[in-house]
Amino acid sequence: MRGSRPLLLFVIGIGNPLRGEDGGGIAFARALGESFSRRGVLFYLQVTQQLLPELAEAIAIAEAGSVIFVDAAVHTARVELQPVLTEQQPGGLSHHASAETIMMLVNRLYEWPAPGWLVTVPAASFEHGNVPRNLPATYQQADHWAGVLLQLASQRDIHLPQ
Amino acid sequence: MNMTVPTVVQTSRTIVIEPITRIEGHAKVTIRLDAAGRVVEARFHVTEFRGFEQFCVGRSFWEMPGITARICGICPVSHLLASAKAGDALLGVSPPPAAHRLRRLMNWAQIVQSHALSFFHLSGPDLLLGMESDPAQRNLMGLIDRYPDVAKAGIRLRRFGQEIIRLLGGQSIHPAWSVPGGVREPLTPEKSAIIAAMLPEAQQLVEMAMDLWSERAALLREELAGYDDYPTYFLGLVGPDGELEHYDGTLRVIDSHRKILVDNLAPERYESILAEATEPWSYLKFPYFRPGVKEGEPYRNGAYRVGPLARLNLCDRAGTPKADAALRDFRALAPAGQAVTHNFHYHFARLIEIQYAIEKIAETLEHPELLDGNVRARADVNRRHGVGVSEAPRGTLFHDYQVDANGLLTQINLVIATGQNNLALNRTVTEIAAHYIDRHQRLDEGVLNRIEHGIRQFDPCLSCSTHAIGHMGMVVEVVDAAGAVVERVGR
Repeated sequence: MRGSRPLLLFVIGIGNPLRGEDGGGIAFARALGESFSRRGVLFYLQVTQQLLPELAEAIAIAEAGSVIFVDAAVHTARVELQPVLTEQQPGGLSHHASAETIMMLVNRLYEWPAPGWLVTVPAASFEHGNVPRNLPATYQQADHWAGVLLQLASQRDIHLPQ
Repeated sequence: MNMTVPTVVQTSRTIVIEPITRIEGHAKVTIRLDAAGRVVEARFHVTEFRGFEQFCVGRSFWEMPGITARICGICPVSHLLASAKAGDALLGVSPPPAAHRLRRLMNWAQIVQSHALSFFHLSGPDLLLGMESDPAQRNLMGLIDRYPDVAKAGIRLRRFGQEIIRLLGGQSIHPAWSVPGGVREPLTPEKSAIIAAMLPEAQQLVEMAMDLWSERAALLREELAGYDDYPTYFLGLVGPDGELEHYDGTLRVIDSHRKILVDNLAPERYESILAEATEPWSYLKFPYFRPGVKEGEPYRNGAYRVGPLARLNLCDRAGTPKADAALRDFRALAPAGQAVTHNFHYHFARLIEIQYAIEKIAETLEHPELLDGNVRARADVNRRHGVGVSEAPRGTLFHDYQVDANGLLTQINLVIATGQNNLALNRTVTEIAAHYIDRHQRLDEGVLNRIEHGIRQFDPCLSCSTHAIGHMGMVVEVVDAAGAVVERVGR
């Protein structure tokens, strides 16, 4: 049963903005944030070059309704969205963590029931340099994906403490 | 990439463990047995490759702190500081006192966060859940299920260090703050107060870790005897009075009897005592202590260790009350006057360094120079060769730059902490394998985890050591005694 407080979307843009399209995840995360803002949705944007275990604590403290990881990858030709699953053995913990590990920490260690989603945007070039100003059509889809994520967030049956 | 339970492939001759779990980077272990099933040799292969030293040639040395900090996301601060110090040398300047103190502050913060994660989360499952426990549970999830407070404590202590780095540098990963000549921004009184407010909890957490260690170390006595305890040289920085040092100072080398072999060596003269070998089966180089190898002897006779264990063996004292008290306990782990040589005590050494760093951070926050606004010395290139050295969490880090008249790099040499432990890493793997396979005729999940744990004691950063990014696919190869590939499995 949903609480009456508005849900906070915790958006995490992952990448190195000085390595070309590796910064694409951050750019797309910012674009998602702009779309959420236009829709009047409460969100928090975290930009990071790699996922850190302490992010889990921050997510739980923020009492996020959903966590949205946004990353660039070479293995995809288009924007993809998938749930972050934690039921199976997560991707281990080293000095940096995976989205699965972060959500496992959120759900099991901090006992906060927020779901996680991974948005992957295509990237091809990781040379030294900033993300190109003329963003490819991919990033112009941010508004569409923001709508999809909001719909998913509203469908989740999360019991939030008052 | 999913870090599944390692694949173990065994023939009558060769055992391969891949991937090694809960370390940074990609590696595998190959254990070669003779016809009688005895361990001949174990090798720790690093399967990543990078090449920062090459593609930075032609770039300006001003860019190097920002570039080399991106060698690795674990210890960017170490590269940032060593690179900035190399830049200081090229400019021929000494940064203002406030800049030195601020750089030290960031270095200590990194030591806290890195050591905290290593102890609590990477080695915690071994220490708390037991080497023989179910591998499906001997991981972070198992730690969370049985010891949630310990898991949280590791994150809180790590957060303490990361928050200081963020307050100083604007971001906790790859902060572009330390530059040749000093730092970009001074510390404000408000930020200093934020750091000070976090200190009590940090102190509480390190005391919790110390108690945990005392309790678990006693229960793990089997791990303390019989293997992984061998003599090497030890290398690192010490302060002017022989005190524990992480940022400046001079180089010291001792042997396992704590006899000082090299002292007060200016860090830029490191090449007078260190050399590097390579092997075809690993991308990681093999640095060795050159004076320790007589003519005709194998270079591995010059094996030395760096990092927490080495630093505590090298120093005459820590210099802070609680750390010095713990250092006395550390010294008692070896016969009087001898170095602590068992690698298991890297864990305790890390805790002592966390304690030391917390005390030094508290002390530094009180210093009147800390908030001074003069934090940068400015100059142009005055020298063509500059060396910057600092103590990273894993050990001594060297950045060696040569530039042209315009400050463009013509030659770069990076000697990374983990790489300096490479010979010791290989010996550790061999000794652990020999102990269990030769003496106890055991080759089971517990032994394989002990081999992995042996590597984790060093908290190696392989991404850093090979200056790599690499996402090479994992391959398990079964190699017979003749070197022929019998079977190959990939993922």
